[in-house]
Amino acid sequence: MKKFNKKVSVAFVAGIAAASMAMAAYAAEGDKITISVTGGGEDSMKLNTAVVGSLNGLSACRHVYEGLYKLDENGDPVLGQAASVEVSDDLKTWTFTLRDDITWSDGQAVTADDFIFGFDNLVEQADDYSTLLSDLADSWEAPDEKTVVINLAGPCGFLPSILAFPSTYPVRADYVEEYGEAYATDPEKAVYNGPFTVTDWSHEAQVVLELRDDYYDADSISVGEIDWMLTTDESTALNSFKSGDLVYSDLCPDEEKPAMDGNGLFYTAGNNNYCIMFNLGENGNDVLKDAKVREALSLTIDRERIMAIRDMNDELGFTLACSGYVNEDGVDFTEYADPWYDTEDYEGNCEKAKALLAEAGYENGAGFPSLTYIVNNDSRKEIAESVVNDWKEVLGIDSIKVEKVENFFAARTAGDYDIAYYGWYMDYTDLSNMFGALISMGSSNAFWTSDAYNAAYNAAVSTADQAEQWENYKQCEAVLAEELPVSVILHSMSSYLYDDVNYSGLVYSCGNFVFTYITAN
Amino acid sequence: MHTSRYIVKRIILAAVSLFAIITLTFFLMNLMPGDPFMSEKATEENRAILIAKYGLDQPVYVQYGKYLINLFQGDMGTSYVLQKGRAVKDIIFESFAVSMQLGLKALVVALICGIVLGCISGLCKDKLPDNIIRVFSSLGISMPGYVVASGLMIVLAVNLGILPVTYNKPGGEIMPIITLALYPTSYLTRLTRASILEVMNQDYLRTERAKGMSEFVVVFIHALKNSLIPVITYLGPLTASILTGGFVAESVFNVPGLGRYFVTSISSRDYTMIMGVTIFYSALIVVMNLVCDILYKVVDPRITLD
Repeated sequence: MKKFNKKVSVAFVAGIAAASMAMAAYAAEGDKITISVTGGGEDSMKLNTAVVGSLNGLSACRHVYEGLYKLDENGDPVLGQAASVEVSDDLKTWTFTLRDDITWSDGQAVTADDFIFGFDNLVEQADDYSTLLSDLADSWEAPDEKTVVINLAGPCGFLPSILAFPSTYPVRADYVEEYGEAYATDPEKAVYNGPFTVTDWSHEAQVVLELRDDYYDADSISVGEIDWMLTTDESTALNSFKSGDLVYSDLCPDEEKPAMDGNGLFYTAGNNNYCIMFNLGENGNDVLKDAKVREALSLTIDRERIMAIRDMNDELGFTLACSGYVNEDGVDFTEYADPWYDTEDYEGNCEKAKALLAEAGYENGAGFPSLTYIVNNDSRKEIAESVVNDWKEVLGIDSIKVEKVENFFAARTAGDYDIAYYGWYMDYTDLSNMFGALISMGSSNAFWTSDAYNAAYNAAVSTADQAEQWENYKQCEAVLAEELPVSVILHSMSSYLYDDVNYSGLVYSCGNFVFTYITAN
Repeated sequence: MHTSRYIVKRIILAAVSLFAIITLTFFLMNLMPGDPFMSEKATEENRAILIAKYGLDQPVYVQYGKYLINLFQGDMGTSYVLQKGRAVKDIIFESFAVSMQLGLKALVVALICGIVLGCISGLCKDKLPDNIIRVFSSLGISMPGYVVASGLMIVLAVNLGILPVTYNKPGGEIMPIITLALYPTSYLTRLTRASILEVMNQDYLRTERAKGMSEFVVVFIHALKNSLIPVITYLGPLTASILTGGFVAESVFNVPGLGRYFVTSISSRDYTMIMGVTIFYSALIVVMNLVCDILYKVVDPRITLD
């Protein structure tokens, strides 16, 4: 019996090994490669460009649809479905001429009307990115089948980034009319104009994308098939990567990152900020409406220690903007703008904070009211507890409690908090996105508005002159440093797992991942 | 009471229970803070447009009335968040098909292993096999599903590489089935053991032995049949829960089943999905309990259904 069991076990293992080898060989067969990936921490992918809001769905849309612009091998916007663009002297009118060789996956030609319908449909759906284009443009029109004209309210140097963003991609009106709300919820309920088409969609498990033979640039693409796993489980993604099932995953448990660093884990610019937000509205505690208190709390945060505990290559937060935005002279914006506090002298900052708190009437934390600091997940809770500990140790404030709340965004928007996590992950690589986000979030979540900030921001986005833009963004930073509706703690790095031994050509930009240019090494 | 009358009575009671569940869930759901369209990037204007579009700006009792009317017409609405635009009915049936297929296999494994191990354990009371089985069944009951699933994945998929990590690959069903079956197997083992021990001391078995019946017939024909009553009691809720999948097994092994919706629909405030999965699960529980009650009578004709 024992011998029989042993034989069966050996045969079983050998069978599985043989099947695995056969599958690996199949993946490597032919000119085109098949890759398996996962990303975005989402198991319900959306492929409707007008309603998609998650990084996973947005990235998938970049593969099956294409806009007037697309991201190139370096993650920069280059002309996609447009063959050429003419920009008027006042930089307000952009006229695009479409390529002659662009088709939908059902063989129909992509027309200018498809773009116009896409822009209109985006506004009508009223979802996360519905105002992405309408915030900048007064109107858009299609004078003929091959021409798209966008009339901007003011000059906008980052329009290519907006037009490379999936929300502004073309949409076929006949499909939307036929399927209504169910449009693009199954492979046959949409038609695709990007390099790939959706051939199989097992909801909550996997989407299979196949390279279109009739895509104008198909010959230069090595990836023939993308098996896109849909999961939210970080451990599953990590184990799939470790077992060789996945080429790419941007899911990895934080506690595993140090071990995976150098073993397939890569860090890249996160294009984000990690802050705390003070409630300056009616529901917020009056103590936080005193700028001295906010400054004292901000100065006391031991950011270096938090970064050391996290051990995830974070950047110190001393401006709202993150690093990586460089002017013609090679100067990074974070060096160009004035830091919000002295980054070299934590001890001095603490002394200043104690004095400020005493001036506000709470010497050594005496009489400081009870406050609630809300967060939306465990890792942010850890940081919050560390911050609260700093306030206790340095300022003597022991009346601030941290709460992880389930419906965090509802609570924050309703002003049902005193202090809250605030962070922004940029959608495209232009500083306007970082500063613009704080206008809507600041007014609706922190109940803070500043005419000076708004004026500087509007001036920055109304010019194509980088020097002028930067001067205005610098002014925005100065207003924030003084008024402190938020306090920046750090800028986290984005991380992902990638098999760079066997593959190259991954594009990662602002959380968006593009697999189109991947080749086997 | 006649069996048919009893069944009709139970069906009416089940309908009343379901109606109560629908009503309670609907109003409790609306008491939760937030709404489906709350997100970091949503503007207040857009949120208001979407709330009006789906009629969530109307009084709750109006929404409730409309929901009931649509439900009686077989329309559970479309998902607001998780699979925006897809019919809830389609999502439930599609994912239930996956959960059911996996759950049935896990159920068969649990029943066979649980009853066999329980019998062995009961018949070998306080001997080595009994002690080993008791240790394993205690472990199976006390280990959280997440630990079981992660442990299996690390050992069998990552370290040994003999099974795939995810469900959609060949052989991908094995680990989810083990994860789903482990707890009910252990529970059934203990239940059967206790039941066997109790039944084995009954007078009628002594009589049968005295009549000269073989021990095999005594144990497996007479004792086992009567000891299965508590097992059948447990079978109703077990079947309902195992067929609808498990959040842990489905999340860890990336199974596109129904189980994860019990959690994700609530956390994402996907109202139509919350209602859909609650109604479906409740109906399943009610039906399974009814089936079990009828099974009692099959196993033991002396039982009266009232």
